[in-house]
Amino acid sequence: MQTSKQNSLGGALIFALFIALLLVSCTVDKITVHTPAPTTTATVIPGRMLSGLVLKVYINPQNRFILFGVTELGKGIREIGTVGFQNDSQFWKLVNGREIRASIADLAVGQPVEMWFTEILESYPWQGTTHYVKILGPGSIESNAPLSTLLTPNIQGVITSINEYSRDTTALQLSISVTQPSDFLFIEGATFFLGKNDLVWERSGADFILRSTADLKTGMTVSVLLTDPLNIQSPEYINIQEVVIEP
Amino acid sequence: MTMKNPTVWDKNGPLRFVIFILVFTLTITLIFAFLRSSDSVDSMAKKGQTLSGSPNSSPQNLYPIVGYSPPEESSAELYPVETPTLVPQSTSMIPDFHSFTGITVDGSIVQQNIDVSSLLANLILQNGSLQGQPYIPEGLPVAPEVIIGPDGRYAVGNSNSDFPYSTVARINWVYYPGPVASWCTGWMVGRSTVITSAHCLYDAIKRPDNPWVYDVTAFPGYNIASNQAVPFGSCNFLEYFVPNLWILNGQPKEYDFGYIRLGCDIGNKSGYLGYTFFEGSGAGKFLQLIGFPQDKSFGNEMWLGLGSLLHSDELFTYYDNDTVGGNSGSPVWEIGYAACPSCVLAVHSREAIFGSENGGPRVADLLLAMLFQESYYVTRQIFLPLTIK
Repeated sequence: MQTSKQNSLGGALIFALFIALLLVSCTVDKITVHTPAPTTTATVIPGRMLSGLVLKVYINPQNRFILFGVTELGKGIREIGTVGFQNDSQFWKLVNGREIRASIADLAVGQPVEMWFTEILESYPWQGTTHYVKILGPGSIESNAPLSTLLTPNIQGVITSINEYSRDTTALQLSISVTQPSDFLFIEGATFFLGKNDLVWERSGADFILRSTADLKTGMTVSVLLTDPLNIQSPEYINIQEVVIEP
Repeated sequence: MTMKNPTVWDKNGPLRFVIFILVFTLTITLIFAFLRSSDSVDSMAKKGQTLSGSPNSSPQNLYPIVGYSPPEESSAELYPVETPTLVPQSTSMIPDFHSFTGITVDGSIVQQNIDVSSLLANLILQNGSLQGQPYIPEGLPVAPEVIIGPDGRYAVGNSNSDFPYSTVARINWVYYPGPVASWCTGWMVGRSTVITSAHCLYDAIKRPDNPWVYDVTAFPGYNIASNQAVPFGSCNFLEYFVPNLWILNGQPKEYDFGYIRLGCDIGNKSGYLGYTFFEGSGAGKFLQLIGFPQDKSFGNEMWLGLGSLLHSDELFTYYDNDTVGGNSGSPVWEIGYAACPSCVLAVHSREAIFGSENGGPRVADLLLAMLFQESYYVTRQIFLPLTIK
C-alpha cells in the first residue's frame, strides 16, 4: 500500500518536472517584459522628452523616419534631428483634451509633438529612436495653416528654374532669385531642394489654399521656409520645408 | 514460485525511474538548446537576417558582395604570429562577424575581413602593449597639452593647425531623401584613414532601402574661427566601412564606429593620433574630447571639452564631457597619460539621456584591432586634395 502510494507520488513529481523542464527549454528566449500601457498623462514615461514640430515625414516602404525640429519658445527651430521608431513604439494623440491611441500613420507635417528618447546619437542632424510619441495638435493640412504662419519664412524671391533632381527622384531642384533675404541668409540666388510631396500653399488674402509642387512655375514670387536654416554653411544642399506662392 | 533477493534497485523502484527520467529529460533539453543556439547565430547570419529584430533588411539582400583584397601594407601579413588571449573575448564567440562591410566610391559593396587575435598579437609584438603611438610630421607645430581644469568646453582657435588638433577632421556627408547635408567629427589614424561613428556612415533602421551615406569628405584641422580655416585641404573618400556587427545586430552602441579610407595621404601632413586600451573601468581619468559641435557656428568651429571618465563596460565607456550634435566620431583621450600622449581610448557617439552621461565605444577588441590595421593603410589611388577658398 505504502509502495503504491510512493510510486504514484513519484510518478506525479516526475511528470511535473518533465513538463516544467520542457516548458523552460521551449520558451527561454521568448520571455518578454510587459509594461502596462499608459493611459493618462500621469503615466511616467522613461527617457527624456523633446518637443517640437514634425518637419518631414518619410514613412514608406523605403524609409521609416521623420525629420523633427526641436523648437524653443520665441526662437523657432533650435536644432533638427532624424527620428526613427521601434516596432513597439507607442503613439498617442490629444483630441479634445483626451489622449487617444494613434499610430505611425497619424504623423503629419506641421504637427506639434512630444517624443521620448533614451539616447541621442550626436551626428548633425542628430539621430534618435523614439519609444513614445504624443501628437499635441493638427498638422498643416488638417488645420489649413502653413508652418509659415508659425515660423518666419527665410527668404522671398522669384523662381527662375524648376528641374528634376537626378540623384533623388523624389526631389526637385528649385532655383530662386532672392528679393528679400533674411537677417542671416544674405544670398542673391541659390538652388534649393524640394520634395515632390512637400507642401505648397498659395496666399489668398488672409487665407491659404493648398497647392502642390506641380503648381509651381518659373516667374512666380514665393516665400520660402527652409528645413534647416542652420545648415546654410553647406550651400550645395539647402532643403525647403514649405513654399508659399505670393500674389 | 521462487523469489529472488531484492537488490537496491528493486527496493527503490521509484528512485530508479526518477533518475532515468531526469537523465532522459536533461539529454532532450540539451539537444534542443544546442539546435536552437546554432540556428540563431549561424543560419541567421548566413541568411542575412538580424539577430535582434531590426533592421529588417540586411545589405546582403540588397547588394552583391564582391571580393576584396586587403592592401599590400596590411599589417596582418607583416607580423604573422600565434594567437594570444589579450582582450575581453566575449564577442569572439561569433568570430565570423568580426568583419567590416563597406561601400566604394563606385557604389560596390565590399567585405573586409579582420583577424582580431592576430592583429592584437602583432600590436603587442610591435609596441610591447595594446597601444599605437601617434605620428607627428616633422615641422608640424605641437600645441601644449591641455592643463587639467574645470569641466567645460573651450575653443581651439588658431591651434587648429597644431598637433594634435590638426588630426581632428570635420566629416561632411549627405543622406537621401532630401538630400540632407550632415556632418560628424572624425580623426586621422593613418596617412589615409579617418575614424568616425558608424551611424555617420550607415543607418538601415531609418533608411532600410538606402542605408549608406554619400559624398563623404574629410577636412582635418578645419576651423573657421582660425586664421587658417582649412590648413591641410580636404580629401574625398575611396571607401568606408562599418562593422558587420553594426549591420547585422540592430546597430548596437558597442559597435558604433567605422573607418573611411581617403583618396589621398593627407595624414602625412596633419599627423595622426595614437590609440590605447585601458584596464578596468577607467573611472576618474581626466579626458578631453575634440569635435565640431552644432551650437558653435553650426559645426564650423573646433572645440574641445574637458571632463572625467565615469565608468566603462567591456566595450563601451561613459564620461561627463559636454557634447552636442556634430560631436559623433570625436576622439576621446586621457590628459597627462605620459605612456601614450594623444592616444584615443574611445570614439564618442552618443548622449545617454539619464543624468549627464555621454559615451562611445572604447578602444578594445574589434575597434583596437581595426585601428592597428588602418594605421598602416595607404591609399591605392592618389587624388589631388580639394581646397576650399
